[in-house]
Amino acid sequence: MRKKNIRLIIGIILILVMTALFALLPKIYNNNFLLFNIMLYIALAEGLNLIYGFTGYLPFGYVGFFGIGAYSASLLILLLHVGVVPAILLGGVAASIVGIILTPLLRLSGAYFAIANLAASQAIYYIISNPHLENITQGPYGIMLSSVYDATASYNAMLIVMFFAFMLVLFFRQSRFGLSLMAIREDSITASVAGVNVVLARTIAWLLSAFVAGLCGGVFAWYTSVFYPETVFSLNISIFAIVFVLFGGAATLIGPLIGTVILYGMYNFIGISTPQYFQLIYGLLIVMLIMFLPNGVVSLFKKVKDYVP
Amino acid sequence: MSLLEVQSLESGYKILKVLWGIDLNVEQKERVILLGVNGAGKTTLLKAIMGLLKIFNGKIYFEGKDITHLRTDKRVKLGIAYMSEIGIFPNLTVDENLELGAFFLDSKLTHQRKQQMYEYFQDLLSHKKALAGSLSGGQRKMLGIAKLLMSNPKLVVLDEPSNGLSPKFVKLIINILDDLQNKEQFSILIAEQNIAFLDFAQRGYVIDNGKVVVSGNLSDLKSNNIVKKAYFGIEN
Ligand SMILES: Nc1ncnc2c1ncn2[C@@H]1O[C@H](COP(=O)(O)OP(=O)(O)OP(=O)(O)O)[C@@H](O)[C@H]1O
Ligand SMILES: [Mg+2]
Repeated sequence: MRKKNIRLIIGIILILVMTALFALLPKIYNNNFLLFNIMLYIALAEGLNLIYGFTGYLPFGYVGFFGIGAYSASLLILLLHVGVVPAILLGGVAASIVGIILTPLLRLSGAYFAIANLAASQAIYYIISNPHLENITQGPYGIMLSSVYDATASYNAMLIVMFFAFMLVLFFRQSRFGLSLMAIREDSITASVAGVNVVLARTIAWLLSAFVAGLCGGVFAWYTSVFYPETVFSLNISIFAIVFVLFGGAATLIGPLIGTVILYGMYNFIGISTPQYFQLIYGLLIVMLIMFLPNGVVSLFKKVKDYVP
Repeated sequence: MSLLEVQSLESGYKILKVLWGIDLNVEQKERVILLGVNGAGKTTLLKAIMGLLKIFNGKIYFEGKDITHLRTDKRVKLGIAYMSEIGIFPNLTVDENLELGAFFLDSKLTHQRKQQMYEYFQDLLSHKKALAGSLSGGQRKMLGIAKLLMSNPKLVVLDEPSNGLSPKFVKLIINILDDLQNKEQFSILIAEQNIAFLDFAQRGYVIDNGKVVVSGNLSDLKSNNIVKKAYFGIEN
């Protein structure tokens, strides 16, 4: 009992420190765009962690929820003149609704789920970018949200979404609900005979994960203010989030955080200036990781201490 | 009214019918053994009772309530606990395994039951934080049984608990089950091939090719020719 509380407090402190850090950094470091993107990927990685880390489903189409969030929020603002914040929240809800429609995919396992989810995200992309829908989605011509542009407010919105994503992961990590998810990931039959409602628990994790990506999409749309369907449905977004989670260590709070900071940092410092080296180093790093540290960087800490936040 | 009553049950996998009309019942505090050769359908019957397989025909009642099509976790909440041949989560700790055994109880009750289990199984207490996968085969069975009893079940369903254990450990498991059943007063339905369990039970069924071929109390079973041939015949 006691120990549980201590772990909870450590987690909360960690989250507060990270949030405070990103709140203060813009004052001393002027690459606001980079800071925003790091937060965005931390939130996406933590959101993906909810479904991958705690249930084992690898959502290659995760970007679909991100794109849905971006488009739903934008269209609510542009067409229905909904306020920015409610529009972003509804963007998250829209992503969850798509998640509900896609729940039958959870019956597939392993690679089949990953591929079907990828296909679903591409289908959404083709619907939204269809020129026939120009009157509604602007089709391939993209969205312009400059009327509500606000760099500071949208940065702070990202901060809140990142905080929220962290809190969800902490909840998954410390609650009996999270334990039941890990039991399902291990062996769903044994979990069901322990009295766990397997379908419900999986679905909740899936919808929360989609919700986080939807929120990220909405805030991203607000921050960038101009984007195209291929920007917010780029498969790279899924791949980045997946690689960051795997690199850092799934099913922990700090794993996706570490993965994002290290790999996204590298991507920005050497990837953009010297992409040829970057690809090489990145590729090697990932191969080495899978060979020697299949459970991510956090498994190094686990050798020293059995519990890592 | 029987605690568990299975009537003309037909079930199996997808379109493959394995059980061809099974009738079986378990009374309050009774110990019932299910015998049968490999592939007879013992595991299939237990899974069907737990709601893990589609029921093609027939009925299952628990305390008079029709549970034929009830979801697995709801059956568990009614008081049926099941240990499959695996039974535990190897990548979770001993403590987490126990916690999951009583997933639907509130945390205070869970805590109480956990203390009780650690009292019954002292060996588990010293491995509280260890991953269940790092336990020995015998310890895993102990953990499986402790996890099973966490929820204070009315009926305990066990699938070959002796599987892979040395004769010494089989004896130990039987003693533990015997002792715990006296203390906690649950009923037991146990599928076994190990003849050592015969004396543990009060009544039994022999199934073959998905049908009950012999049933009765212990002395009936022991004197039955089919049982003699199948079990005592190969004993030595
Ligand atoms: N998952 C499955 N899919 C299809 N058929 C199966 C499956 N599991 C078991 N069967 C078949 O059902 C029949 C009964 O198997 P079951 O596992 O119930 O036997 P058992 O009595 O438990 O045997 P054992 O003593 O070996 O555990 C067998 O013919 C088996 O081939
Ligand atoms: Mg079997």
